Amino acid sequence: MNLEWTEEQKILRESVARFCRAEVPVEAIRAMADGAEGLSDPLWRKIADQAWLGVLVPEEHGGLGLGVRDLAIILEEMGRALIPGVYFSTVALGTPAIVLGGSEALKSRWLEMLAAGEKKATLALLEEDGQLGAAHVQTRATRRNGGFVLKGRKFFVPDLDTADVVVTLARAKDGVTLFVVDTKAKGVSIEKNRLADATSRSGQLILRDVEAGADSVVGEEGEGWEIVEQVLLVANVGIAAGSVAAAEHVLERAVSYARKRIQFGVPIGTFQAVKHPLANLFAEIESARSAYHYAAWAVDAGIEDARRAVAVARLTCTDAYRNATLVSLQAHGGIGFTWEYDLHLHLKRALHNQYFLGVPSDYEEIVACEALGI
Amino acid sequence: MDFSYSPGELAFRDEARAWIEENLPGDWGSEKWPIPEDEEGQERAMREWGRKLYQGGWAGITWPKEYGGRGATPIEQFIFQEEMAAYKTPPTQNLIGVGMAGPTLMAWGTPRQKAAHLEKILSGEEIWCQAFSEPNAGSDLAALETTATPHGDGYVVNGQKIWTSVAHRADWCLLLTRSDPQAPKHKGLTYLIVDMKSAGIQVKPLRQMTGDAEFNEIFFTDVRVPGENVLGQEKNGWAVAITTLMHERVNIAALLYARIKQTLNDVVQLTRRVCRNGRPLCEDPIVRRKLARFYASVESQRLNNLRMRAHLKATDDPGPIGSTFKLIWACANQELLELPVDILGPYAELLPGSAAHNTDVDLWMKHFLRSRANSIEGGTSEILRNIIGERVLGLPR
Repeated sequence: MNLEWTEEQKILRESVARFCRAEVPVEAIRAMADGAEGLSDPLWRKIADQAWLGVLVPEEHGGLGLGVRDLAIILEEMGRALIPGVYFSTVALGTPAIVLGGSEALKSRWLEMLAAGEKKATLALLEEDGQLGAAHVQTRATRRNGGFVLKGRKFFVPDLDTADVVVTLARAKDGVTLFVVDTKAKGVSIEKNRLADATSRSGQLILRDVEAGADSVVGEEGEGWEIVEQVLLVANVGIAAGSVAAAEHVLERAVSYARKRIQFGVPIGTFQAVKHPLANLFAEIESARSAYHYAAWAVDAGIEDARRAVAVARLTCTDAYRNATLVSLQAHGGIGFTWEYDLHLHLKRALHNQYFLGVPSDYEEIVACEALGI
Repeated sequence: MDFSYSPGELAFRDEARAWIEENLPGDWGSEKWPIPEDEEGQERAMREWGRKLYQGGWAGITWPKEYGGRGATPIEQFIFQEEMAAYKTPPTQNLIGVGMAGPTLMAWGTPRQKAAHLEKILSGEEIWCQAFSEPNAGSDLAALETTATPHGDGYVVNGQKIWTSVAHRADWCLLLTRSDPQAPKHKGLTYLIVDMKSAGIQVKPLRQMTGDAEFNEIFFTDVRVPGENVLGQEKNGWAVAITTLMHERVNIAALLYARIKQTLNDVVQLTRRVCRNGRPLCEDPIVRRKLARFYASVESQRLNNLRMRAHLKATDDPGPIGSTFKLIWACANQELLELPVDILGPYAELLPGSAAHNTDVDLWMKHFLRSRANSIEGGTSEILRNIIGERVLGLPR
């Protein structure tokens, strides 16, 4: 047992942190939040130049061929800096679907472009009822002329407006199946949502008799949910990583404020009513970090109980982030409630992370079934 | 970042498992809470088990080999504790001796003190207790008033200690005293090791709200303690006490995790047995969500343990996470133990002798009541939050 990051991972973290400080100050985040595209093109190019888009892409397809732990380090630093989700959607949703489930032909067709940043991808998982699970997939995939025709509406698709390809779940004759859908294809249209978390984007993917060739199927017909489950392991480690690091950042902000804000002639951090909630938060965040480290390792190592480990990490880390923003807000008092102060950006991102790709009760149910056997 | 056990750690686990299987007393490991009902039965079982552990070389897992220990790593200590818990072995009697007195003696003791006590602590011949808290010095430990007045080449001790576990069985005592009433409060303390058979020591059991008496009061009246029984130097008692408390923190962490894990298993079993509207409670969505959350908390405590121990192994220091362990456990254990009494409702109140009473019911009420001490004993949650706030986060005092 060795619970240290490797030297390479420490260097990776340092370079992502440096990049975020230099390239994405909070003013840039605010500008992107107010802008149309979520994540600016120049920033996207700079991220691509760092090769971080190819972190999970095998080397033979032009990527770095690294693991989930390495992706998690990048997402920790990006979460701390509140970088919008376009990176996440391509690297932790669209790309792993193809890496984990795609045929060699599909990999050759897409991975190099995804790793180079020439295409952006995402995953269409949910439908109108917003519920996670194969049983909730209503979009139809009907066989026609050796291929399929897709018809239905996918909801809350992350970063849909900038995506070039959407890996989409639809119900075929042999069960739920994954398709790579080009957003420029005939019959595809999108509706943009406006979210409380202005740094995140989502939309509805409307498929009106969209033709999808047999070569656009990821894996086999009927294997779609199985592949999505694997993708969710990767994505949820990513959500956990970004959440826990952002929670640490939010706690640091509260501590620093409590040390310098003077009331009644002393820093407010001397008061136990301020100090103790921050201490509780530290304990909660450390626990969440432990759960996330274990989950990241479990996915990379492919151990049997990775699914429940990831569920625990996702639950504890998104909770910790949410609590961190709430406690930090109270410690800051009025200033924390203003639009100018950054705290509300984190609060809204924390909520977004909790309701993104399933809700807490979905993951509690995984834990109840798989860890407790009830 | 690799959570898998190394070949060495796996070999250690297999060795421990094989030994426990061979040596576990026949009565243990049943579905019942593994502690005999009566006081004497408890003590006999624990002493016997302690002797077996010693003979098998498992008494001082992390003690250095030069002191008769196994010289194992903190991770291996955790592995051993997990195995003990899995087999529901009897609790160890000399937790304070092995986990706190021994390491404090190793850090501060004279060669003579080490030679006199370490071996006997491991063998279970000497049971130790820790007398720090006083009626007027709880959270404010350094305000303690028990005096050690220099006399001849030793001291005369007068005063009262409280909340002392196992004092009624102990042979020796770790005693924090005030030897210089004029010095500032942290600077006038002297740490003594005291023979519990000394004249002038009276131990009175303290009955707690569960009805049990786990703790004691100790009264010291003109107790003579030889000067060679100072641990560390005179007036250096605070630093020595910190050593004891540091070791307490690490040693109990594995034990607390093992216990809460077992409690969660038992609560889950209860929700399978108890039905509401013809369905087992474990099928109720709210109960399921609660249990899932408890699992997440207990599992995080396992992983916190491993992170703390990996840090300890690498740097000889438990790190900031070490300060969080007991706080997290106390909150979690209290919350967890509310669920069974809430489930049992009016049955939870029944005492032995009631017509509808059964032992299951009795235990849950007792565990619930006992858990209320968790946020008070061994450092109140308020003090632990101060420590985290000030020493870890750097907030002003």
